[in-house]
Amino acid sequence: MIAVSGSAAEGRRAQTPRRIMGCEEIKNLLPNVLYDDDAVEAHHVAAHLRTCADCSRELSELRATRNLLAEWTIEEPKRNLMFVKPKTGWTEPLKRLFSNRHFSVARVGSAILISCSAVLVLLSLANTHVTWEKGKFSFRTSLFNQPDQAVNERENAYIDEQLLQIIDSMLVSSEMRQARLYNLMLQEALDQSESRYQRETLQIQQDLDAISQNYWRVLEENARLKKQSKRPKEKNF
Amino acid sequence: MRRWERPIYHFVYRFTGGKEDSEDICQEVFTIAFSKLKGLKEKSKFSPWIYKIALNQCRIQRRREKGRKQIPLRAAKEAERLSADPSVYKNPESLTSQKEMAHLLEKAFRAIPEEQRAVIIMKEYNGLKFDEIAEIVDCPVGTVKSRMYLGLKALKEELKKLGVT
Repeated sequence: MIAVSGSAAEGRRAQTPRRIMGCEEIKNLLPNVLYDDDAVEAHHVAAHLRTCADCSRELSELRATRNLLAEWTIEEPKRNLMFVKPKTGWTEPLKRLFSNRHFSVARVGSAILISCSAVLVLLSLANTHVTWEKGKFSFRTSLFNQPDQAVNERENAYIDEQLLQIIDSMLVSSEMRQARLYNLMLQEALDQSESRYQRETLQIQQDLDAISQNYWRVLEENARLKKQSKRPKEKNF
Repeated sequence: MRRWERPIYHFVYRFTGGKEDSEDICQEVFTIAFSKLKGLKEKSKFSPWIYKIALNQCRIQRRREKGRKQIPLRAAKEAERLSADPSVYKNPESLTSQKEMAHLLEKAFRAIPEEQRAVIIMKEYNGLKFDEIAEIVDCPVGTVKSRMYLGLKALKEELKKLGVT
C-alpha cells in the first residue's frame, strides 16, 4: 500500500481513516479508469473520484504520464522474424556452440589453454626428482616418468644378460640345426648308394639269367646236333 | 501466427531496448512457439501463452547480458548524451523531435523495475487486458494493477529526473 506522507495527509487520516484506506485502494485501481478496463471497478473509482481531489489529481498525473508514453514509437523490423529456415548442417551444433554467448571462442580457447597448462604442471610436479648427492642438491623434472640412473644401469645389465643368453641359445640351436643337416645329407647319400647297389644287383641278376638261358640253349643245340650226327648215313647205291 | 510478429517484436523491443537483440529474441520466441504449439491445449489462450514465452526469453537474454560485458546500445548512448544536461528538457519546446522523446522514454523504462515495466508495456502498447497480463506474469490481477500504478508513478519520477515535465 502506498503511504501518504505529509502533515495534511496525516491530518486527513486522523479525521477519516476509512476514506484514507479507501484512497489507497482506489489509487491501485486507478489503472482501471485510465484504461477503461473493468467497468464495475471503474464505476466505483469514478464515484470516489467525484469526492476526492487527491485521487483526482493522482489520476490526472497518471493521464499526463500516459500521454507521454504515446510518444514512443519504434521502427519496424527489417527482416522477417518468422519462418526462418532451420539450419540442419552437420556443422550447425559447432556454430551454435561458438555463437552462444556463454561459449565464445575466446572463452573456450582460454579454458582449453588453462586446462592444458594445469595438466603440464601436474605432470611436471609428479615426475620431479630432488636428490642430495655429494653435498649438493640436484633437481630434475620431466613431463613423463623417467627412471633414475641406477635403475637404468640395472636394466641395461639385465638386457645385456638377456641378449647373451639369446645369442647362446641361437648358437646352440644353429649347431644342432647343422648337425641335423649333416645327418640328413648322410642319410640321403646312404639311401642313394643303396638304391644304386640294388639296381646294379638286379642288372647282374638279369645278365646272369640271360647267360644261363643262352648256355642252356647252346647245350640243347649241341645235343640236337650230336643226335643228328649219330644217325646212320644213307648209302647212295 | 504471422499477425503476432509485430506485437511481439514491439513488446520485446520496448522491454529490452535493443533492435538487434529484439530481432534475435523474436526469432527465438517464434521458434519456441512453433515447436511447442502442439502442447497448447486451449487455443484461446494463445495470446498470453506467446507473450509468456516472449517475456521468458527477454529475461533469459537479460541474464545472458549480465554475464558479459555491458556494451551500451547506440540508442542508450544517445539517450545518455541527451540526458547529460537535464536543463535542455526543462523547456518543452526543446523537445524537438519525437525520436529524442523516444530515447528518453526508453531510458526511463530501463530505470523502473522489470515487473512494472512488463506490465506497463503490455497494457499501454500491446493493449492486453489486466487478467491476461496477470496470467502472463503469474500473479493476481490486483497485483498487476498495483504494479501498473506504481510503474506509472515511477516512470513519472524518472521522466521528471530526465527533465521531461
